[in-house]
Amino acid sequence: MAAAAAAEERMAEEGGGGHGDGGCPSAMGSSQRLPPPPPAQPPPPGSQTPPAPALAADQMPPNNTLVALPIVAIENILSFLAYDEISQLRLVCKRMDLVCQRMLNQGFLKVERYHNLCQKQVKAQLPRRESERRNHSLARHADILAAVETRLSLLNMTFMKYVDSNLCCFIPGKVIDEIYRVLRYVNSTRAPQRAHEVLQELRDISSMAMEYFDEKIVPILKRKLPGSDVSGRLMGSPPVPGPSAALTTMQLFSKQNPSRQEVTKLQQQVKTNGAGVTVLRREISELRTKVQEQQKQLQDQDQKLLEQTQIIGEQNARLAELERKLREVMESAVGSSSGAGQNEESPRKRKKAAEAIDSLRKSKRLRNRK
Amino acid sequence: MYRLLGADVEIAKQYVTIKIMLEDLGMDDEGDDDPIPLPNVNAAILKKVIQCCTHHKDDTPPPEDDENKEKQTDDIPVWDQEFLKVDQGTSFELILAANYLDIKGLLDVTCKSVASIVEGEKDHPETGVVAGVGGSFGFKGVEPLGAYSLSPGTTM
Repeated sequence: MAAAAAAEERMAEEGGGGHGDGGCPSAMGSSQRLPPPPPAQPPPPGSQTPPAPALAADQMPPNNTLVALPIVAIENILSFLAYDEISQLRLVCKRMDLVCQRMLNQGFLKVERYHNLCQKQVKAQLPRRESERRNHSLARHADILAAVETRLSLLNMTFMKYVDSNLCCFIPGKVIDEIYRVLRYVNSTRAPQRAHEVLQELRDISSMAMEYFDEKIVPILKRKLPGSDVSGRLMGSPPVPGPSAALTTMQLFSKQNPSRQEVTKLQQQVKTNGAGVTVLRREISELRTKVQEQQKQLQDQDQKLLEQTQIIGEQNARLAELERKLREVMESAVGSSSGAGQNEESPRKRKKAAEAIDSLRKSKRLRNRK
Repeated sequence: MYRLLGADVEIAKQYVTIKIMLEDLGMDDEGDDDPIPLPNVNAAILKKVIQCCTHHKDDTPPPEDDENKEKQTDDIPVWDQEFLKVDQGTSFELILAANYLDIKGLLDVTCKSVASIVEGEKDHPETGVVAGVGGSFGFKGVEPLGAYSLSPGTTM
């Protein structure tokens, strides 16, 4: 299986993991009938047949060959073989590779369906209560099927996104064979062994397959993912190595040049950001205008406050003066009531009282004006 | 076009293609002696097909295919094994004829026999079923590859 995986890696690099039917016509033999060729004589034993030059890509294979049969017929023949053998037959030619890839992908889907069917059948027979289930005769069957389900999920997560993107097929045919073996064993045995014994081989080979795939094949496939076109094309003409001598030229180039998809995404983001910035600028200018108006209002209010403070100051001064005058008037009034000199002081007193009254009137007028 | 003369109509109806022609297309009328055209099958192969169907005419119809059942290549009946001891070109012609005439039993047994040869190639690569080392299978003119040898730099 390791050798097959290594070959897969080579094929992935050469673009053998996808489409491309080079060199083999499809549906040969069923539409154009040629007279059957005479039976070929096998070479005498011990003789060495010198290898003839390889067929060009546009040359059709002879009619009497396996790969010249219709795809339906080839699939029918290969359906009798194990998936491990099918995965190795991919190396024969591109047409066989296409047929085998299809069969491997279908094989994985079929084994998933078979597992679902088995699990459904076992669950239908198990009691609902957990305590009763543990002691049931089908408990081990259920455990084994649950473990297989886990393995299938892991395999699905590892391989199927690349299979769905048509970058590769489900490569490890041996894993499909092993899953089938376990499922048939569970179906046919009344008292299976413990889950870890039954599944040891499946766990080992599926883990190895997934690990190898992730480490060796996925990096090659990721270059073929949509969006890596630009970096893939440009990798054909690397620039002169720059100052970072530690990196290879390819790595440096790919780091400096983002893919087309990333550029488009960035442009969209820039546009969105630009629109957002414009909105923000408008809001900022509006806020600035408001702030200026409010500052002006504050200034006006400060001014008014100042003026009113001054007025209050003046009024306080006047009040103080008036109080002083009133006091004097009161004192003089007291003084005049007690002795002579009353007559000399009364015009002065009357004058002061008049002044005090005038001042009171003025301050009253000022108050009213304000 | 090749004329099929003296063939038992009931045997011919095992070929679903002919059955459809006879029953659904109204070619089954009594007194209708028009030949049924079979442009994709030559006379020699058709003779072999008739021989096989005559032997199996009383067989019960095969059960529906169970895709989850393990398929084996070592359960071919003895008569069929002898019948299929032909050159590989004829095997392929029989597959094509069985596919065209829609004879499930013959198609299954011929595909099974070829599959058993492909399986055996692991141990006997000189048979060259898939790799094309001599013989009439595989590509002539392609460097011997061997389905089970993974030498680098192989052209495909």
